[in-house]
Amino acid sequence: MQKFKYLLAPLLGLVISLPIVSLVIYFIAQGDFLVTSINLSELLLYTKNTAFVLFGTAFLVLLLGTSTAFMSARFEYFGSRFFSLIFVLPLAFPAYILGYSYVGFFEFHGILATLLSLPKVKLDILNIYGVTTILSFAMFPYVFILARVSFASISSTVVELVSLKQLSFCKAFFTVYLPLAYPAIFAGLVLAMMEVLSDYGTVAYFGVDTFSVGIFKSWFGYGNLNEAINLAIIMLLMVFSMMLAESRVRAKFRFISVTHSSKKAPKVKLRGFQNGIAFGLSMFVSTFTLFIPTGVLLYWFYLDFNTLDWSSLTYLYRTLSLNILSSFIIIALAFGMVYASRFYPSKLGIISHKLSILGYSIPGAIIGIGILLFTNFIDQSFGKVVLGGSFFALIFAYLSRYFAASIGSVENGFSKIDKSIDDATIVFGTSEWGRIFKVYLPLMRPYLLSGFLILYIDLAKELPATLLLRPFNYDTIAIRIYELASNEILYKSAFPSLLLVLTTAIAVLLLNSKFVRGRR
Amino acid sequence: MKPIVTIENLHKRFCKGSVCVANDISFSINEGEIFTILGRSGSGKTTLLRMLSGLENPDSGTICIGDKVVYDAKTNLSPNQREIAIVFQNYALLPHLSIAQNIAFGSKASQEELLHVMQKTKIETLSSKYPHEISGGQQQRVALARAILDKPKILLLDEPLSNIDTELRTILRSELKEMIKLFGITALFITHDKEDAFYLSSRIAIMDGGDILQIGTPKEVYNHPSSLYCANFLGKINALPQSLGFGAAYCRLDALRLSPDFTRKARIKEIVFYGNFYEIILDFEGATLSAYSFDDTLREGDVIGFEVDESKLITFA
Repeated sequence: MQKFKYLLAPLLGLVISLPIVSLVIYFIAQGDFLVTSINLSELLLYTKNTAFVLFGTAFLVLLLGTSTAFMSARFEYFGSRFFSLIFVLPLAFPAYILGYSYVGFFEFHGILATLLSLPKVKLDILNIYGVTTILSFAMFPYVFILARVSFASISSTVVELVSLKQLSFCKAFFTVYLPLAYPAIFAGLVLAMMEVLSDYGTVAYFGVDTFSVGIFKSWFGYGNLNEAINLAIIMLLMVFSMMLAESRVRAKFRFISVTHSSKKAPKVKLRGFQNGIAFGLSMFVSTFTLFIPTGVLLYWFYLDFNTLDWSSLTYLYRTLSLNILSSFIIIALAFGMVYASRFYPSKLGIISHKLSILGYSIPGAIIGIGILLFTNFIDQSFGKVVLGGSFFALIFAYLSRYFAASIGSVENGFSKIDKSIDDATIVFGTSEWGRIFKVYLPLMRPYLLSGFLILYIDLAKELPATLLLRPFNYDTIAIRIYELASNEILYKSAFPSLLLVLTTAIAVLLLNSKFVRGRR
Repeated sequence: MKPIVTIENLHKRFCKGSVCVANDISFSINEGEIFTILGRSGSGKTTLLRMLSGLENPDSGTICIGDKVVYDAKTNLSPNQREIAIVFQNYALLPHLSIAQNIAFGSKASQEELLHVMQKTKIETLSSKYPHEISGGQQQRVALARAILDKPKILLLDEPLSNIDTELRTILRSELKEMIKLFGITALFITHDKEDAFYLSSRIAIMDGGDILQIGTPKEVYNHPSSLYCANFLGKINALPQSLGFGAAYCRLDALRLSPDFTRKARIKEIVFYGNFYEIILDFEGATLSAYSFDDTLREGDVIGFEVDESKLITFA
């Protein structure tokens, strides 16, 4: 029994990474290393588009995320607290909903045209530039959240040094404050880039063929599994290089923790013209990233009010039940994994832990294909459909894809529990289950809650894996929105979109609230 | 006296055998005594406590607690079967449980026994409070109450006085001694602080590099250290020059006294003020010697006489 406990974490890690492992095994087994199954011109197109979207979004995300984070962390100005919250909220929007609302905003006879009373005014954003801008609006909060923490933790001695040396604002920002936040900014940027790479709904709607679109085209359009897998492997390589770059940057800037002391520098109170500039900039960013898309959805909702499709509530119910169940399972397994690694550590456990968190950086479409390979194998072995198109397959995909999101929160919680508490629970003789239920679960409550909320937000927005793996006739609200938008009934997508955004916004606000943050 | 704990040939290596934290250690702890393991950080004292409690497994050796073998080649009892209890360095109180729940945690003691222990440790009024609502001293008493509730054969104290400021430390130290005496407990105290060790211990074992270097009463180990390392570790010493006629000998600073007799004289090189006394650093024929003094008329550069208390000379074989 004791030996089995040491195997728990490695086994769990292996199971969670199974979709990725099966994908790599299939790729090696088929022996067709990109030569015959991919059309070269298509490959070039996917590479060019993916690179443009990635680098373009990276640039805009850096610009938006870093500037807002610095303003929010270092300055006190009119509405600064309100904007700190507003800058996080775009996280509640799936990128594709932002995309739909902006297309509606700029189209012929669209909202902008109506507002200007010029019905023929149109801005065509259904192109690579449009999708890059939209994705950066949706992803900048990743950089904002992490960079804000880093900027806010800058020690007062650093600020005092800057003022003693009489550095100008620009010089201080670019030579002192920005480099200190590099690891946080880069970590946020990598997260955003992973999401961009993973995005399917937005790029597909905007007609930009990136790798994730290519995977769907190969699989659904041409029924070519080999091509889909080869594309997935290329994406996997891109993800690995991003992860490698991130770890390099992290190693390079390890010294930074020294400059983040417990005595934090106070915020600077802005007055007059500077106050106006900060407010104006914040308003500008919020208008484009939050107010316009929300306004568009509300306007469409108003137009559609008398013919509302109440079946959206059924989709919402399905989404809520599926997500809550999945989040619960994933967080429970994350708890089990961290608990087992803490009390029954092994080298194998460390390796499989790394494998298990790999999924977060791998697009949903790839995970989906990995699961399909696995379920096909099982179904073929049994000679009948056992796992294909089941909830099991979908939840398994969620588990593989989002395990890292939950385990981070659980690990953070466990790291706050002193090792002497572990010893005390052992010495004072409680059983294993007693230890879990009487000590660790109560102590971990806020961390489990935040992990649960992070999962909920991610799962609610998830599209590609759900599209690939959902049980027959079981559409989630995200799929309903995607279908309505794909059929060009944009205004009809407002009601389900608002319902979805409302639930994720509640989760984002809760996550940002003292109720969860304050108790950690 | 009857030994409560007997450790024989306990051996433990870390990092694939490259670091030895217990090198064939053997000793016993008698009933009712406070036995202290004194050593610098990394000396292996905490690992020894963890092996005794069952939180860490030795590579070999035997551990007996009471009449029971708790660890040897065939036996390895879990911590909760060893009849031990620990007061941890940071007390390890569970923040989500009330004081009464913390003390009763994992215990099978009755409500009456719980109340009795709480009364004796003077924390009966705190039962419904939470750890963060009470002072450091009260937290120590709660940790102690939790440890003694089930009447362990031996109480293990894992540096409970470190990381506490000097003023509170003095108070907590005397409280700790009082409580241990009150309950008549046998205790193993782990510390790096010689002052705490001298204050609390019946016997002290000095540990370094996984070895027990010396075991004795506080006076024995202070006055008759077994090695230069032990002598230096327990306080400052003077290496006496051969010209003084004592051979290769050492003495503590209190054994070198300033004297009106100028048979042996030295020049005052430096005077260090410590508040209630001075340390006088002397230059004797090029060698540096130190002595304590309360005399505030002495000045640097003065030439004074001194004598050595021969009964307190320290020599090593």
